[in-house]
Amino acid sequence: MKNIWLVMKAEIVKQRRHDYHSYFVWFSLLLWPVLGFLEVYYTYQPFSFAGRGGIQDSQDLLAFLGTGYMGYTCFWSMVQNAWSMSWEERQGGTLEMAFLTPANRLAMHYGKALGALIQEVWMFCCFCLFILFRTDTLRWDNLLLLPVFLGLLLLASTVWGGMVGALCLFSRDSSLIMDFLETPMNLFSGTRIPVSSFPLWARALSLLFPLTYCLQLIRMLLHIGEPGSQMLSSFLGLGLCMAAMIGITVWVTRRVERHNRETGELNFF
Amino acid sequence: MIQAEHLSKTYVLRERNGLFRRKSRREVPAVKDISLTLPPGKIVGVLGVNGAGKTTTIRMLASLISPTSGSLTIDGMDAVKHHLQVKQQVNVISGGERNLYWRLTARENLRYFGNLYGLSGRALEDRIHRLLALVGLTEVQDTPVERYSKGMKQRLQIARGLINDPRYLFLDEPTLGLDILIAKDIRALILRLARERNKGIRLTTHYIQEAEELCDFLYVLEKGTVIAQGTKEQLRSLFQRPPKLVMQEPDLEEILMEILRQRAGGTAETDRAAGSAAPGVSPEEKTGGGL
Ligand SMILES: Nc1ncnc2c1ncn2[C@@H]1O[C@H](COP(=O)(O)OP(=O)(O)OP(=O)(O)O)[C@@H](O)[C@H]1O
Ligand SMILES: [Mg+2]
Repeated sequence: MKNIWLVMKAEIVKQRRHDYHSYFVWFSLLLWPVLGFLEVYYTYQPFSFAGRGGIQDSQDLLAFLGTGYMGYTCFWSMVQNAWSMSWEERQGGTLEMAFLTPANRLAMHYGKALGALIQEVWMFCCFCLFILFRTDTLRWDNLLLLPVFLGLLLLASTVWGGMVGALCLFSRDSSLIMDFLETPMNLFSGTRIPVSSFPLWARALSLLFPLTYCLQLIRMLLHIGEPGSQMLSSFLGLGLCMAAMIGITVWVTRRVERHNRETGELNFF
Repeated sequence: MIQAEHLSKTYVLRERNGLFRRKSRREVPAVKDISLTLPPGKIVGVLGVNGAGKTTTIRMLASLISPTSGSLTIDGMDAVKHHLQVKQQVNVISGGERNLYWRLTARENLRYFGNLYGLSGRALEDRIHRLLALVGLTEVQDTPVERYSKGMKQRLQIARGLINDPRYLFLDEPTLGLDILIAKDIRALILRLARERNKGIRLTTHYIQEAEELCDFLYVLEKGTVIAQGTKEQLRSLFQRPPKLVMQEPDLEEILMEILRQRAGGTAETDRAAGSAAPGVSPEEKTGGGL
């Protein structure tokens, strides 16, 4: 147990040291997400609000998008980081060196995910929290919800990130995962469109993305969107999803190691 | 003791011939039916031309890749089945500048890998301190690796390879591309690791002199099979060549060593100076004759 924590800590520290602290980081970590957020906000603005998905006015919209983009950025940064780190570590040969150690593989994956999360999304999350405070979604009287909701997001993103990280070790061509996930995840998981206003086929697709459940739950917690939707079912949905993701991660991690021990491909790039 | 019996490794390659045609399957037998032992405290050399299977053998023995067939035991433990447990006891150092995080400093690199081996706290810091002194990088321990010269990176790799205090060490061309002085220091270090610290070391190299100087036992590989093995004396006696009497001019290496020895008087130009003491050089030697 101590070793697991040690490995995770090592990955987190490494991640922090590894990232360049240049000013350009601000663009990709804060400015671009903010621009994306504003783009959607001002696209919706001119249209009247039909109250669909529980969004009555521009305040509701801001809160809706604030949570949506925060969740999406967390999840997406996991994908991006898993991909770029796996590429860099392959190239540097350090991936193979890490797999030369007896360190717990799952701890390595989750440590990387958590490290990237802490490192990369805090700035944009601050922006989103600011929006949530401005729209009175978060207030002094419900401030207790903040740690609950941040904890939930952190946990779900890390579990997701660990899975993506494990998948990225299958082959150096794992950029496929990026292409495969980027637009669909943004669209179907309800980042900027309420899932309830999707046609049936899209709603079915949305069930495939863990982010959907995560956002649903967060919005319910904060009373954004449709009132009266069932907390319990979302909670169960997210729980099942996380259990499935952990299961997949465990399985993939084993498979990947066997595969790489057979092919010796861990340092191909 | 590492004991390998009838180890073989066949890589299976799947190659695409065009977008829509089926992938073809090709087998590359990299290592065929190799049996060998590596006792603690000994240095065992593996020689062979490019592509003979030296690196593949090392990667198999270090449990980085699994053998296609054959058995491998390390101190009596089945290393194929229990490869994670075995990893605590072995480490690999290969020539070149990879296998380190270039953006991290020497200390951060060692700390990271130390953590992965389950080391932490005082014990780890002490070990890092000792290893950095051993390879002569104490003064640059807080400089990012990307600013190191090749020799310094290579020395840091050696420190990384020793971070878990392995019982068995696999060296894959550890002096690749290094200058003669550093190479000499590294060779001295390898010898000490075997003699004083009782580590079983397996070395591949293309420098025959290096093998001759260090190895207690030699294997010669060719196309994945062992074609000759024995001690230096046994190998020499394979062919009854009479000893040669030669008049030899001092070779260029000697001259170069002399030039360097005379020039180096604590100048801060070479990376060795930047990296403080060279590995394997005792302080007396350094201050006395000056290296
Ligand atoms: N991961 C791999 N996948 C497929 N084939 C490989 C792989 N690694 C090595 N080979 C093949 O296995 C054979 C042996 O390679 P190996 O790297 O063991 O040789 P080597 O003796 O270390 O050579 P060198 O002196 O050039 O380092 C070569 O034919 C090589 O092409
Ligand atoms: Mg080789």
